Amino acid sequence: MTPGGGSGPMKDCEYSQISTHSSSSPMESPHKKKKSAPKRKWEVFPGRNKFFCNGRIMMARQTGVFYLTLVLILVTSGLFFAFDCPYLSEKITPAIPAIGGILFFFVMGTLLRTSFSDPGVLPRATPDEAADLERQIDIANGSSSGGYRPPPRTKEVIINGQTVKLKYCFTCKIFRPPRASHCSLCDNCVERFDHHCPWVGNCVGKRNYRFFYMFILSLSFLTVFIFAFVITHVILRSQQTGFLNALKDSPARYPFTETNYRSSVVCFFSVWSIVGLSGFHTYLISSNQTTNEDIKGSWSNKRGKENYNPYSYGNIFTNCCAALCGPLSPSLIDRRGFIQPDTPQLAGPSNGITMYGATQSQSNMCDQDQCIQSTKFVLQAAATPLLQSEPSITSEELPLPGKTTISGPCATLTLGQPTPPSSMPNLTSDSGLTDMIPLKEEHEGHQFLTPEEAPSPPGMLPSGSPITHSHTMHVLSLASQDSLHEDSVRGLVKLSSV
Amino acid sequence: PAPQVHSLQELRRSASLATKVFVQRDYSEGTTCQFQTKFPAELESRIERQLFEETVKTLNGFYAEAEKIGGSSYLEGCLACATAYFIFLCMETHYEKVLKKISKYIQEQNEKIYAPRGLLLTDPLERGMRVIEISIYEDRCSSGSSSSGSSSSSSGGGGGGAGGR
Repeated sequence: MTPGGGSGPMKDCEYSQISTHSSSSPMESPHKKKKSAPKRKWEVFPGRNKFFCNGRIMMARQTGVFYLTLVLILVTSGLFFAFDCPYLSEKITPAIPAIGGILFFFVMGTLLRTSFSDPGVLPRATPDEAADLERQIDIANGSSSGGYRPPPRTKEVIINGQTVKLKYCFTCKIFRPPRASHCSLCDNCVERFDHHCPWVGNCVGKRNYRFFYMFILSLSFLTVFIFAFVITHVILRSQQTGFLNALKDSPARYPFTETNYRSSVVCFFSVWSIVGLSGFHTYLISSNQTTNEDIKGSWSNKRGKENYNPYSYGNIFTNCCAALCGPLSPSLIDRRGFIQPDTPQLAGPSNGITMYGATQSQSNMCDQDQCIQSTKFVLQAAATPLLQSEPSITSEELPLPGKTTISGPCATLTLGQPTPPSSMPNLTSDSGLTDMIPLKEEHEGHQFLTPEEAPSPPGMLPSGSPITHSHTMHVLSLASQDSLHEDSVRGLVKLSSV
Repeated sequence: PAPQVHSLQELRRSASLATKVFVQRDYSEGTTCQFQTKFPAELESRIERQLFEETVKTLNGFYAEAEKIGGSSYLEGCLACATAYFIFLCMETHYEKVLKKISKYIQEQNEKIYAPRGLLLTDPLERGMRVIEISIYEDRCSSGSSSSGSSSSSSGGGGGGAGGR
């Protein structure tokens, strides 16, 4: 196959029989077997997610509340169908259980879709990408001037006339696309990050936002439906037999009264919260904002008259259609693909940083960034005096959990026990880390250093940011310790203002 | 010198990977998937600017088509919603169809244009839609060939050139 165009100035060698399959579809390489069975990518996924059904189902790590949601919906609906529907379908119309059934089916379908699908996780950068980015940032920042506080890694882009700052994610080693955010609970960057919903046991992001919205909308209808007809049932019965009799604890009526009472109570409380949530998300969709942006007030007028939402299409109808009926982008993490033996795993750099395994602080969807920044400062402060006295401290020995109880808007902010292989308490590597002191990276025995990070100049903190939390800080220089103390104080002040 | 024939796998083995160039995303129009058409300096000596730009522009066009919000996407969305999204279990979405087209296009471009120049495009899908990764190979073929793609064929030795950097 002759090369196209002037082969003179280009290579003289010809290339033919090019099978580009292996480059463009890693999924077709199960034949490249090593001695052990080929692993699928979900098995080495660096984020803190759980996978089921051989990678088809993806959820967050804490799924307890999701099971509670399932139980509540199933039990309430089950009781409704078992005890109220027979009566109502006779007395009024059989359409009631039919509609109820359809609603229930819709609720369960959308709930499972929301919980089990990939919210739009961005895969972490390959080592080459990360190195290339680092190089570009070095060039952009100029040579490290030896200052202890290199400028935060941000890039500015202009979107539809509005200046938007793109932050660099230290965990994923990428510049986050606009509207993406890093979820500290799942330890992933998620596109168009809305929030992490414990009730569905997953993040809500670009790919599953419409499922989430349809879930809460249909659940609102379902709860209102059940509530209304339970009340109707009670009223009709009491008209027949007298109200007191309807509540009398007779064997035939016991299931009726008890279940109706329970259903009503559950429904009553859920109606207000679910309906309220649906209303809130309807507002968000119509203005094309995410919960994250709304909470931070990114596009509110209070920030300045020139501040407007560059993603909005201008009118409510288009915004709604785009959010709900727009195209569904594919999952970028290719959970069920096989790992190619010749290409380095995507989790390369993050393996070295090993974020996974370590239980993270659990924060609610309050102002995570600020809380997390403050927490980091406190950690830093807590770690410093210990390390000065114990240079060879290991992560297991560091009693950080005792020092980091933070009260504030983030109700539960505790550090879990570190687990192997990465025994390092970790917080999201937000760009706030750039405010912290760079550490000398003379950690020969440190298992968390990757080859590409070791040789980077000491002045550059960001490349060693996860190591900020590491306990081999015994190589801190005196000067940096001073700044460290200064920062600790600042951090504590910040914390008190949270 | 007799032209040497390489398959792409052999290219990887016989050629050494000199460097990788990353074409970043262009966010000026929002969150839609578009790539920058700026010509990277490292490719200066390897490929004509116009060919590269055309590749990127075509890819941008494909992605714009995939993410287009219009009649057919609304229809698909409403139908999916009506079936509680169960239809996604059996139907391929419009986006997925366009992605297949893109994959074929990239393969074709690699075969026709990039591999003969010792370059290799990687589908952005494999890189999380963040970058178009272009691998630049230095070929260690016979000494008669130019290793750095320079016009002179008397560059010293095989593979000793400075490569595309």
